[in-house]
Amino acid sequence: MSLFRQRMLRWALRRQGPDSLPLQLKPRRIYILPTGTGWTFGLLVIAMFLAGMNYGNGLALLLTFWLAAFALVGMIQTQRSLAGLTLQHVHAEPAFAGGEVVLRAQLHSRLSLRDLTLDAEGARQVPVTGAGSHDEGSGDLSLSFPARQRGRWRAPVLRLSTSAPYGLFRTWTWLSLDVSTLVYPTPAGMRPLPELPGAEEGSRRLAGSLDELAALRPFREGDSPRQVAWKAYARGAPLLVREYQGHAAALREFDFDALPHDDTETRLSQLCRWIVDAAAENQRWTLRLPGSAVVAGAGPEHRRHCLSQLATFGAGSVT
Amino acid sequence: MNPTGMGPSARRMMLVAFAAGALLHVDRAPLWSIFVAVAALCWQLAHLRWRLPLPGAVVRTLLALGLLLLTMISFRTISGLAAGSTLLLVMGSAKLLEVRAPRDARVVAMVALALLLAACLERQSLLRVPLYLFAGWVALSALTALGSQADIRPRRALAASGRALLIGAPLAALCFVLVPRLPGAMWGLPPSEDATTGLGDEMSPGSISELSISEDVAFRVRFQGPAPPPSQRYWRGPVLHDFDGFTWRRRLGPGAVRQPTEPVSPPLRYQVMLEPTGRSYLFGVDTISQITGRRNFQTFDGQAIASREITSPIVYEGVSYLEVRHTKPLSVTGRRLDTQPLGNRNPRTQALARQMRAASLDNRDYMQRALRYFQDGGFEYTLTPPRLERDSIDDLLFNTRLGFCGHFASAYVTLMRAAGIPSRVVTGYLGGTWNPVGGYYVVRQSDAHAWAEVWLEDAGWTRVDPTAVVAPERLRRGVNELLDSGTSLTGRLFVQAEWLRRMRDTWDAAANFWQERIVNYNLGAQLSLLEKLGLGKLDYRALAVLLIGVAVLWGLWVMRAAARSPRAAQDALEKTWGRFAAILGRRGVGVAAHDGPRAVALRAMQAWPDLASQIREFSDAYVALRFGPAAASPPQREQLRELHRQLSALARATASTHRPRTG
Repeated sequence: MSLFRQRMLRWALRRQGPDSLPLQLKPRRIYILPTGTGWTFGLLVIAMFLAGMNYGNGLALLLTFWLAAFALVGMIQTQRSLAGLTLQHVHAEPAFAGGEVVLRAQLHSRLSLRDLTLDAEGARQVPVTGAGSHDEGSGDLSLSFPARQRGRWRAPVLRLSTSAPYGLFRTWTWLSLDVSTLVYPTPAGMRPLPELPGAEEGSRRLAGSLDELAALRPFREGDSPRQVAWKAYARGAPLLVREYQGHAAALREFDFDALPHDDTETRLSQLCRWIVDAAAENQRWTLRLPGSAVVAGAGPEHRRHCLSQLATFGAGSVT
Repeated sequence: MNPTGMGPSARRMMLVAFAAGALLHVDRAPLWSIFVAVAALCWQLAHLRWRLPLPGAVVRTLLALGLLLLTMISFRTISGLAAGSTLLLVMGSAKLLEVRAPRDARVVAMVALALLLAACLERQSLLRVPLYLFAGWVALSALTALGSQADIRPRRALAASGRALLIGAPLAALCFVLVPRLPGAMWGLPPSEDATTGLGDEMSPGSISELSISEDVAFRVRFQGPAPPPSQRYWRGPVLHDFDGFTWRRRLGPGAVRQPTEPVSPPLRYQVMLEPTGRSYLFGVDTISQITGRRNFQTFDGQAIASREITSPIVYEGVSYLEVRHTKPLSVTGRRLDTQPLGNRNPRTQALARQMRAASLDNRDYMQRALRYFQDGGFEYTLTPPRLERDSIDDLLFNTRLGFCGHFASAYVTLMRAAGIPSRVVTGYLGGTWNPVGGYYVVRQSDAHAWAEVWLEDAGWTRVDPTAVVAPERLRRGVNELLDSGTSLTGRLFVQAEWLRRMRDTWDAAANFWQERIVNYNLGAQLSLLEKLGLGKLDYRALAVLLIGVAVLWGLWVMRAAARSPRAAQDALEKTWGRFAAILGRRGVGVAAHDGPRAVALRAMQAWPDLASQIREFSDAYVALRFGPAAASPPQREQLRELHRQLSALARATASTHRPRTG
């Protein structure tokens, strides 16, 4: 972003104040400038004006004035197309670090959604898809941001713009919305899921669980090599992992302090890996983090709660 | 969406825009450049239709360079309007071959607009205006189609840009009237590129076997006060002095001094709207005393001349006298110039002249005698005379005896000079027809005429028109009315069909209004119009304030118009439904944001079973307008009003009934 743009942004934000949803865009916060095509058009009109003046050619002047009036109409229409637009809801989904935070803005406009551009520093617009949305003025615009760091992610200043209907002017508004979400740690780590309490020896547990073998599922990073169906792999099948029914009811314990003394982030990644896997396998677990309450549970709500704890771990509390 | 971000309709619009821009130059641009444009258009079409690959970067660069070179070779320059528009045309064609992204297509649309401008600078006739309108509209529509990410259908793009043009028209008209014009050109005007039409520097009647009578307008005249009768409306053009026995020429070398005159009759004031001729001649009736216009002047022989070739229509005012008195005897140089010896050419004519002069009392008597010779000598007026021998006057007088004005004037002056009387041939126009629609006289190329001027010691330069005695009707009526044959079919048609003439008059008046009031709207015209509007006292600053004030009012009007856009009607529809949902909410029927209209209606019908049919009617109307086939076009005002009426009825009905059960 150029220095000029930054200064203008700061000025604009000071002017319009913080935004709250639902938000209807007022004309005073809508800015407009010619596009590249618009500047070229302007140059052409100026050239025509000079030629018409010089040759005393009324026709050329009439054409010039008409084109200029057309551009003015376009300017007003472009500006008006953003004024009155309503932003109903803006929402960002939690994501894992290294992945993408997707921000979804639900809005209602006079324009086709395709003609609206939502962007922000470092973000990528997700194209509007679907047959129904072709000309629709109501719907979602999505932006995807790279989720770099574990922790609380806050949406930067967004820019909603359009150059419809003639492409001669681009009009935009800055949105400083209080939208945030959590970025969970990257699920990583090769350690197997912690043993079930009561299981003393791996081999015995394995032998015992063999009877309860329920299904094979694709290998995921972090699965125990002992659970891999090597025989099937040798026959040319992809890496498969045996799943055991009995585990669902049992309670596993994911303890931060029980992990070898790697650095905090590595340990959090491992814990995250386990939670994701356990949730996918519909198992029960408790998460022990230094300085936080221990709750046992299962299911998406528990998963979300635990992942949130991982995301905010160390922020504002004692490690 | 197309991966390039440009829909096929937008691409097609761009092609049409460029084709329209090229079309404006078809009749002037060199043939090869038209060929290049057509080839490029075909290539893009083939690319669009059959995925024919576009040329690579190397080929395109070579092509562009080649085309630039070709333009320079063909015009020997790249400046000037003609070369410039050809360059635009071929470079636009080259650009057309690399159109992949919308950005390239927008450049092509801009080139189409620039081609339109070039055409406007070159030619401004009313006939071409519809073509210009079309080209401009299509180019702006192409920009519109390219400006949207959605693939806009051509009809919608045309409608959108057409709407904006209509909204912009009042402001454009206002700017046109009020924006101050310059008194003159800021930089040099381009040299003339036009072919010449109308009267020329020389006249060789003998070489013409068929005079082509063009119905083109030479000029239009508005008289202040009553116009002289047609037989007195001799429009003076080039005066020819030098004769080699076959061809009459203008004096290009040193002439003579101008013979001073004194007006005898009252002055005749008139305004001439001259069509471009490519020459510098101006025309005025009879003896011209004044011609307005900077650097316009008169030659010694009374011809009005402009300082440069007339390549675009101009307007000037003139003052003339039908009768003047020459106050000084003919200068020596003037006499020498107009009594040039005939040498050994046309010997029989010279012999005839000597014989007739000997039989006459004086020069005046001889003049009359020669005129009678044309009257009684069995001469006939025709526009298809036979070609004449080298001694053209001998051949005419003693052999063919057929000719038109040029023949008779030429022969008459020869007879005078053979007797030593100073005389010259004057070319110009005679008469002109009244256009009742426009309130002016139209002088056409078919009114071209030639007559003689003879110096008489007691009267000075005296006009003698031998054609008048051969074909007296020529003076009172036009050439077309005079002859049954030998004239153009269209010319005769206009004579015979009154309504056709009326139509032509109307068209001509419109074309003249266009030329005079729009194309030639200059500083003078602006000042006089402002004077008429009562704004004559305003200076530039006041004008600017006025202009800006009206522009702001216009802007407010446009904003209101934008609020009435199709989308606004959709918004109104949404709002109506929103109010229904709000009413339900107030009455305790929960409506969630994600609930579709059917679900909301169902819930409302459960809450007020006795209003079920009304609710269904309302929701059905809304659904039909919002999602049904009618949703393609914005809802009509009446439909919205009906929906509002139903909503109000529901609001009253739900308020009066008891609170519904919730849940």
